[in-house]
Amino acid sequence: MAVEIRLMRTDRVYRPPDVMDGTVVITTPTALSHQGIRVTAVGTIMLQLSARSVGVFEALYNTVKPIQLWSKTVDISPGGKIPPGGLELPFHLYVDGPSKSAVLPDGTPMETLFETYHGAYVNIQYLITVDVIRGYLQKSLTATTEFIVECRPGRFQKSLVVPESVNFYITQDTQKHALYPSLRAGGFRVTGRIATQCSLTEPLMGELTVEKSAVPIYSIDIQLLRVESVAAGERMATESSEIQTTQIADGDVCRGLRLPIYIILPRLSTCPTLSAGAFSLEFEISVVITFDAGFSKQYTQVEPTASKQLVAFETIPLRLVRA
Amino acid sequence: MRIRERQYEQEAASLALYKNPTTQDPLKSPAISLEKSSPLIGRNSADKGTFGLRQLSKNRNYASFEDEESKKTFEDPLGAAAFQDPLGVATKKDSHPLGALSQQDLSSSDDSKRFTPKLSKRIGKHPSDELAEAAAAEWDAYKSSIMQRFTSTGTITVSATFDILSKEPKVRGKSVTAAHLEELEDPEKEAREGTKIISQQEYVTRLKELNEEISQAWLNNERVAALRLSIKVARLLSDTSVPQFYPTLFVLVTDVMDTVGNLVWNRIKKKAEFDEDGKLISALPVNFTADDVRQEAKDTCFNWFYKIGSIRELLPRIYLELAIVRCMLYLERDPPISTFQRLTQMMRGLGDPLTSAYAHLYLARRSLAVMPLDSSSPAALNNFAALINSLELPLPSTLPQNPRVYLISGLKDYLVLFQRLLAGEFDPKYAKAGANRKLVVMLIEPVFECIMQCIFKQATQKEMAFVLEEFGQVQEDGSSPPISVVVHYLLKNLPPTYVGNNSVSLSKMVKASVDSSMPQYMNYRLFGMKLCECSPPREFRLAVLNDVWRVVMKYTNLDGYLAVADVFVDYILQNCSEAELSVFLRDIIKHVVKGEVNDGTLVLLESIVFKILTHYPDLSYVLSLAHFVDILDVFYGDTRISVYKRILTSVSRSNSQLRDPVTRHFVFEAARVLHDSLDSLSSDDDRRQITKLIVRYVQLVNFGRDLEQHLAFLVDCRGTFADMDPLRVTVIHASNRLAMTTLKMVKGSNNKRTLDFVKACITFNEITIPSINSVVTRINLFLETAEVALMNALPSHAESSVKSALTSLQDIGSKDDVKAGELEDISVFLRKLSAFLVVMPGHPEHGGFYIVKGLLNVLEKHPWLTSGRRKVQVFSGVLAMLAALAQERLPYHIQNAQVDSNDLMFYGSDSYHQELESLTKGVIDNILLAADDDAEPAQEGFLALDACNALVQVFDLQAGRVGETCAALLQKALSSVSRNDPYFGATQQLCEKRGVKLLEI
Repeated sequence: MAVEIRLMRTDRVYRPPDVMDGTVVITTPTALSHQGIRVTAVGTIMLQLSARSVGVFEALYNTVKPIQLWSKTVDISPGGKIPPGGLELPFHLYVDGPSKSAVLPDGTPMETLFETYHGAYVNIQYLITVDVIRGYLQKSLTATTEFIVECRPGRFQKSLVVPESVNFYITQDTQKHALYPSLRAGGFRVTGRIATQCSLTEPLMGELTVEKSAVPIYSIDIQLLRVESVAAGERMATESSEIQTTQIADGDVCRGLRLPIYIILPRLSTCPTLSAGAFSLEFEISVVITFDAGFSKQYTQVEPTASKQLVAFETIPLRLVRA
Repeated sequence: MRIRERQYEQEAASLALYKNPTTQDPLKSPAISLEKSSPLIGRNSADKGTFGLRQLSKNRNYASFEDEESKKTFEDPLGAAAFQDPLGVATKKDSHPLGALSQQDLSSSDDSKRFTPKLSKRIGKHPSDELAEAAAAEWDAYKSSIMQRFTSTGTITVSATFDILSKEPKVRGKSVTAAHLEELEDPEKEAREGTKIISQQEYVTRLKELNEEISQAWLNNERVAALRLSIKVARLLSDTSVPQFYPTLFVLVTDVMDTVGNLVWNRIKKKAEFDEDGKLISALPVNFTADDVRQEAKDTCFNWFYKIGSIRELLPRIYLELAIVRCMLYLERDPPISTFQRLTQMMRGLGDPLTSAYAHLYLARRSLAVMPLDSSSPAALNNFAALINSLELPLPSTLPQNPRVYLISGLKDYLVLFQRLLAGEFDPKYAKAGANRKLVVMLIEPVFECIMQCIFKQATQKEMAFVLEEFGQVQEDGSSPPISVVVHYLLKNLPPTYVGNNSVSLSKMVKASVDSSMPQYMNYRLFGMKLCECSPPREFRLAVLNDVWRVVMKYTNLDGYLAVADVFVDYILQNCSEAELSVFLRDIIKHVVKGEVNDGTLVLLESIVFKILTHYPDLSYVLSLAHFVDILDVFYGDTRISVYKRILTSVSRSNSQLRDPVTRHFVFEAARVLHDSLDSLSSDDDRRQITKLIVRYVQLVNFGRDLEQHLAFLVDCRGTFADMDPLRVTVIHASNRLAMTTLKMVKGSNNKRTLDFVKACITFNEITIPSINSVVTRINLFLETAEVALMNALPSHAESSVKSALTSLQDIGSKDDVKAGELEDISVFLRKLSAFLVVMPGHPEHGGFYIVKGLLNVLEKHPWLTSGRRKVQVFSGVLAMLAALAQERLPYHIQNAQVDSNDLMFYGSDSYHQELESLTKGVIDNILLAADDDAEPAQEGFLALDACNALVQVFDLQAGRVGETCAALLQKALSSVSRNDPYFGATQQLCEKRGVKLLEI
């Protein structure tokens, strides 16, 4: 006895308003009676507070219960019998806007469905479940599958999503933390340009030039960061964490050559930048330059924090849009 | 018994009717003529003739047949290659759903083999498939050359970062920056923790295993694991700690990458053609485009690019994207030129020259596999010039559809890094790995070679010009000169015609490129070679040479200088006059004198000399060239020998008389050196070759009318080239010729002076001949000398020569002193001698048969000199000679009025005839004796026939018992010869003609 949900779309991506077509496949060696087969689609948002920002206890107690954003139920079969062998039942389900009653934790009503997002403190997830309800004392058969919700592009006009970009420069003077002395003395200057608004389906692009650096460069990485804020009482607990790192320079690159920045955004861990009162999702790009000062072992033993002094970085906010 | 009177002229005429060429003067070698006229031999030889002919024609037939065969076999593989069956089958099957289905079944069962390139051919052939295969084949060849070029044995320290090399992979989950920093902080930590030292062989084996593992994981539907593994493999390439091993590593890793690329390609193809359940939806057309591909397949394809795009490290990301870049064809209609362009730019982020270079190589390779090379628009490159300089991101989508574009820009990018390497920036780093800059440059060289090849593949003139401008531009102020290694491969790939037509600007380019990546002289050398293949336009020829030489003449490195000179000597010989050549030679000698000459220098110099020698057929001309001889003086040791050999070869090849005294003298010296170079350790081949060369030289020397000088020269030769028998023989022949020339010059009658000279020649011979080892040669030469002496009316000299010959024979102690073959030669000589003795006048005191008796004496004392049938033949010859002497007028005379033969000397002398008769008797007895006792019964019959012939020829058969004897001999012959034997028949006929009464035989 097994039950399974098969969605027509292999990529399982739905853009409301969309119709989800699928089949429930039940396989059973013997005939099976049931009291109805029901398909339920549910969207939930799970918020979590980080222990770092609000304290351990608060984090434990304040863990917000999953909030149901949206749910839909379809009965695809009244009670009956499944013949031995099995059965395939097709179903249709409208993935439309949020139900009228759906409100966010802070009371504001929802306008559209949020996109699927898997983060560290915020998770937005859509699941579809099939239940084969069986009689009293008998466990119902269930199967669950995740599907992905994306906003329909077009909320933003394509033309509006011109890749906005910003010029940045990183020198020894833009760094607020302590730098390794020779690094500060020798100086460096890395300039570049990077997109600040980017469509989720397009690669994030930019360029970077090492204009000068007295100390050889060890590596240059572009970090994609998420900044998740969750309301905790009166204030917002904000936490930023790394999603993906992409190295663009390995070793002491040539000065004056433009290095392309070309980053493919990971799906699921990114979604359009979002601010919904109770929580917000923002993204940042961080250009991290690690220098190679040719440390001796002795030095690091004497100065344990030295390693941090070899890094220079610049963080730039990134607005992700669905277009 | 009466010797038959003969009319030689008549006989000759009548025999001539039979067209038997050997009977022109039947007595000169009677035995031979006998044998030759014997029908058996004639028939035999005729048979041989036709047989030979048949064989020849058969041979020819066979040869032509073979030709056809070889052509066929040659064509066959070609045909097979061009119209490979699998392709045909595959296309057929593809258009046939059922076929394709069955193929699917097949392929699922042997899926493991599917991704091996060979079998993947079965799957339909996209145009890109052909490209990919061609590129793969090319790469295979190149690969092995790389592997061979850089083999090194040694060990590699593998740090734990490359844990895939140890069998149990460890999982490390650390934040990236943390990992970076950790590595930085404590580079030796790895060393302490988990380094292993493995041999390169182990490394290679492990990588090959990994290749298998990846394929296996793929098969087991663990595609993510396979990908993860291949990322780790790609990461290995960032390790340049053992630079020497890097090329090998590169080859191994890219093999893995190619495997992955093929796996992904086939997977997506499968996705495009089959649905989830493995049912065929529709096969992709042979030349499908992105429009034919199912959305599902496209999604999968996108996923792969996503996965690879999220690889953190730059190098593995580049390699893997290149590995699967071909799959872009599923997504986009146009070739993925922008992808290549972007990847090229991404490689700017690679800071290690070695890593970066090989990444560019892989890109070039992959682009050949994916992109067609012909440029779609000729204007493309013009647009591109602007593009290189303006790297506006995002990339413009209207790029020219030609891989050259990004190959050029990639190479330009790389050169920035490469120049840093040349400037020594990376020296400390490589020093740590135990390598130096030179080695690293050498390791990178194949990359330039390969990329340049790709760039120049099917390039048009216009494109070439563009490439040249990009890499060979010479600034007026001398800033940013072209890099020499690049110049080298530019030149290498440019077609000779192009080089010829643009020689002026190219010479400027070579001139400007001076750096340590490639010595400039190598470039000049290459440049020169190309120029030799196609000369520059006439008006520039001298200008180019001057331009080049102005630089080269300043070289202080002699080897480099000569390397260029070696090539440009060809150029000068082809395009310039003697004036330039002499200036050139002067310059060479100036350098050679200044520089340090070693063996390598000599080899180069030798090649220059060879070229000049080969170019001019006339050696005297070459020797008269200013400074040429000075150059020759530089040589020593083995190269000197080889140069001199070459000179002698050119003499013997020219095959013209050496008249010029300077040349003669020079060559003599050369020959002397060659001769002196031979010692007991020299090989036989060497000895033979040098002897042959010297002999030919001596033959070709000509002093014109100055014969005495020539003789003196011969004396010199004899003295200088001791212990060379062939040379002595030559010298003797030459001296004989001198004597005869003299005779001719005085029109047959020597005066006092010439006679003295002739005597000198003959005496010279008489002194020289005894020092020759071979008896046969010796006796023949004595005979020749005797003939010459007699011709020159020096009978006593002739006599002494003949005596010397006979003495030589007498001196042979026993049968064992001569070789078997020589016995035959001796008997031939004896017959020849008999012929000569006909005209040889007798001794005034010792009688007319002084020499003949001597001869018979020798034969008697040394019976083993002639044995069996040879004895009969030799005695037949003697008998014929005696018969001739018995005539009133000898059949032939010496054509010198001063020489009288026996017929005049002993005209009417009874004692002479008596002596003759008794000698004849003795000879006949000998013949009959020889015919009688023979050890070999098989020969017996022929012996009898030989004897019979001899008698029949000579005697008047009507008188005496000779007829009976002949009859008896014939009878005897029958005991072992069949009656039908042609020789027997002919002899019998002859006997009958002569009137021998044959009894019942």
